[in-house]
Amino acid sequence: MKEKALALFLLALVLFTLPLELFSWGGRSLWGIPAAYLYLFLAWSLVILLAYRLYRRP
Amino acid sequence: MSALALFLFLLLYLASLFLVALWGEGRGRTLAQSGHAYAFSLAVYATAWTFFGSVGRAATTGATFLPIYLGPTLVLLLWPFLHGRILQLARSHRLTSWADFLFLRYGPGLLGPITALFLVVGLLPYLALQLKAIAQAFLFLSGGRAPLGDVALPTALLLALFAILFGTRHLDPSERHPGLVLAVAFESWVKLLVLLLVGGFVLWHLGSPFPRALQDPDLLPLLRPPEGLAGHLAWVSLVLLSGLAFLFLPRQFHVSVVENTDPGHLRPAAWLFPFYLLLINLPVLPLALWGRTLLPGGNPDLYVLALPLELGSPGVALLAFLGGVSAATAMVIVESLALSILISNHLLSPLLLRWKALGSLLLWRRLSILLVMLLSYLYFRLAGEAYALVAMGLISFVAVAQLAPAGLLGLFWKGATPQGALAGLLGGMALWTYTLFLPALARSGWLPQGFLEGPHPLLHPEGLLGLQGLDPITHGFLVSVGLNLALAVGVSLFTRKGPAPEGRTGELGELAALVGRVLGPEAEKAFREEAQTLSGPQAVALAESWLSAAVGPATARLLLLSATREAPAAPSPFEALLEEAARESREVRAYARALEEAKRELSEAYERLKALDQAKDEILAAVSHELKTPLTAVRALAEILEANPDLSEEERRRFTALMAKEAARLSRLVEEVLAYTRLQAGVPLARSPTDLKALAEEALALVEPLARERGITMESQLVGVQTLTDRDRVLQVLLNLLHNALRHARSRVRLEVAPGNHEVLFRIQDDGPGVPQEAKALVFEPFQSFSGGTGLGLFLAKRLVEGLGGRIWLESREGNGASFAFTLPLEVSHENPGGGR
Repeated sequence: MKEKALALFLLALVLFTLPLELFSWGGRSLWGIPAAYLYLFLAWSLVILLAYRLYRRP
Repeated sequence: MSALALFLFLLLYLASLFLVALWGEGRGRTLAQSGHAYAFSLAVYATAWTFFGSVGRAATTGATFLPIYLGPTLVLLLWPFLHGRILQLARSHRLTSWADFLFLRYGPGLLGPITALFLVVGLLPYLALQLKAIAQAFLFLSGGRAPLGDVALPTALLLALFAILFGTRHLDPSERHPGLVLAVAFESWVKLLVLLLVGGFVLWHLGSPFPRALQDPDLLPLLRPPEGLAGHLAWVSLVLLSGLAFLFLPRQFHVSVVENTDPGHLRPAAWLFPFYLLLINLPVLPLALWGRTLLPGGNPDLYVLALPLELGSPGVALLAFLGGVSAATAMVIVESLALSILISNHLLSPLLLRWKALGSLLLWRRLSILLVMLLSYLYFRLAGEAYALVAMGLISFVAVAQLAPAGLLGLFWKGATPQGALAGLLGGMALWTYTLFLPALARSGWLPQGFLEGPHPLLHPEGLLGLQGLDPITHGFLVSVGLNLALAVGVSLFTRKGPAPEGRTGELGELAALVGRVLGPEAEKAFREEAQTLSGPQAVALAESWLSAAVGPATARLLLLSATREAPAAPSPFEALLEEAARESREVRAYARALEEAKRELSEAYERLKALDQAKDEILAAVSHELKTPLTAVRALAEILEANPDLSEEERRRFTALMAKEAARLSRLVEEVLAYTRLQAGVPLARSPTDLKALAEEALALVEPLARERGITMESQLVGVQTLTDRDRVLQVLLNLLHNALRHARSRVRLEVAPGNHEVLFRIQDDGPGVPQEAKALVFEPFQSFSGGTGLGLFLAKRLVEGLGGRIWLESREGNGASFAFTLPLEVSHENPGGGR
């Protein structure tokens, strides 16, 4: 389980600290929502979902 | 809104907190100690600075409010490495703070007190910020302007009372406080629900702010990701900084480690708490954008309150006030408690011990809570709107992050030394003061503005070494923690670890009495029970962990000096390892020796077997030969008799006598071989009362013809003895020995039978050449013949005597003839209880 925890941590670290400015969509908006915020909240949700799947069972 | 009504509302809310805590200590204890309460109590991380400040930050700098919550998410993902390990240590050593850990890891010294002092200095402004948030929100809703501190003072006092009541009931702070935890978890619920409610309410009334904001050039920068290298560096730094703060903030250590009742609670918390943070951040940006749009001149930190008012809903504003208060109070309660434990255990208790006033430590801890609260209030009144207060949240985070190098290196790197940790901490603290704390004071006007320029362009407080473009927090964080880490690693690499602390041991009685004096009679009883089965040094370690939790590690060590003595130097783990290796090597050598011995014995046995096998072959040949000789003779004589019917009567009788003699020899040979096979087959004994004198006479009579034929005189000295034995076997032994004697004797064979104490002795002597020295060891071995016999006679005699419970031996001396003796036990038969004779 420790390996999975470390892998998830590294994934989250990359997702959370991606230089969004360098992406073409970084400054735009999607469905009326700023893409940077949309990306951050989606990445955050994904990480939480994976953490839930990893840790839900005792 | 009326100030009085608002104040009563505030009091009502605080009263409900007391009730929740009381419930948590009573019937609600199970809920308070559940995994959900644990996850929600972690949300003490989200303070008024989150509740009001995040919206303010989002409204001024955009997305940079988010990293503050991404950091803790990252750290919680690593709980199997971090919290799991810390919890384990905290349980075994009853740690109450990171300062305790540093003491445990690096030994006694300045680290503990310095950490405690630094954390108090670094976190007081953060506490003041919370009080300010309550006062500010109160004034905003009640429409008042001044004095700002009116409502903050009674609130601070009430919160101090709460922390004292529910956090310091006993001296041992490592005890759980379910009431406190439940109250904190309850407040976490309140602030989350309220912020979602306010966000939902505003969105419901005003709709999405994004279409408008995306058109507004003023708001557009808020919606963009951080720009440039500096922006990205600031973002990454904030993620790291908040992660470290989440790990090292005293209040977080208190709720996540000290109040943890079950390590299994970390599992659900690892996703539940990040989920909580995500939810509480959802409404932040919409509120900030609507605030900027509708309230362009307002204080961004108060948008959460102002927007509902703007929309004509004072009820929702009141709820928002409640949310803000809940966020602030939870933080103030837990942080002040954690700081008071730090102050009392690392700063006050050594002094109290010196003044012989340790008994009043609990009172001093309660006073420290009050002191912390009053100092925070004072700071808030003095600093007011100054930069030194407003920017203090993140500056405090950077202060707390200074513990990270010593703490994390201590957890994961064996090479970290006390000197390294201290050098790192001092270096980090110095740079924190120079790059963050003093500039904050200068911006507030308490230091000359010239300070911000620095004495030299390369020593600019907010741009050391000419660094440009970074915001002060990122700059301060990177340089102070960077220097801290570099010093901690560098100095550790060039200093040696001190000698391991001397082990101590002590009597259970004395230790229990000491625990009782400090922690009370109940603790003494519990200690006696727990330490009953422990060895001296283990009991001392247990007492140290209990005392250390209550009075701080340094004082605990001093107290224990009186009740313990130096233990015989316990081998260090390394020495134990060497010892183990030496022991193993000794065992291996012994094993090798035993193997060698076994090999030698085996090879000897093999040689013996080989010799025996050869002897057996030889004897088989001999037996065949022995059998063949009389058989040939009998056959030849029979053929002569058959072929010569006219032989004289005398000749015929002589031949018949010869035939009879040869047949008798054949018969004896066959008897011996049969006896040998019977013995090998293990036929059981047939004991019966036997007259041994009569038996001896019978044997003598049986060998008489042979003796006469060889011209040997038979002599005997027989005493009448009766015993319980196998008659036939004794007779066989006697015959074998007598035949052997007759075979070697020159003129005389003597048989003696004499009773001893518990046995009867037989002796058969002859006057032959005796047994040569080299053959003595082999006379009783099977198939060892020195006189042309079968080689079975003596072997059979030995086996038979031993089977009858006796002994047999050779007495001869070379040249004086041979003397064989054997004994038989004198046993009384049940039929003849009168005795053997």
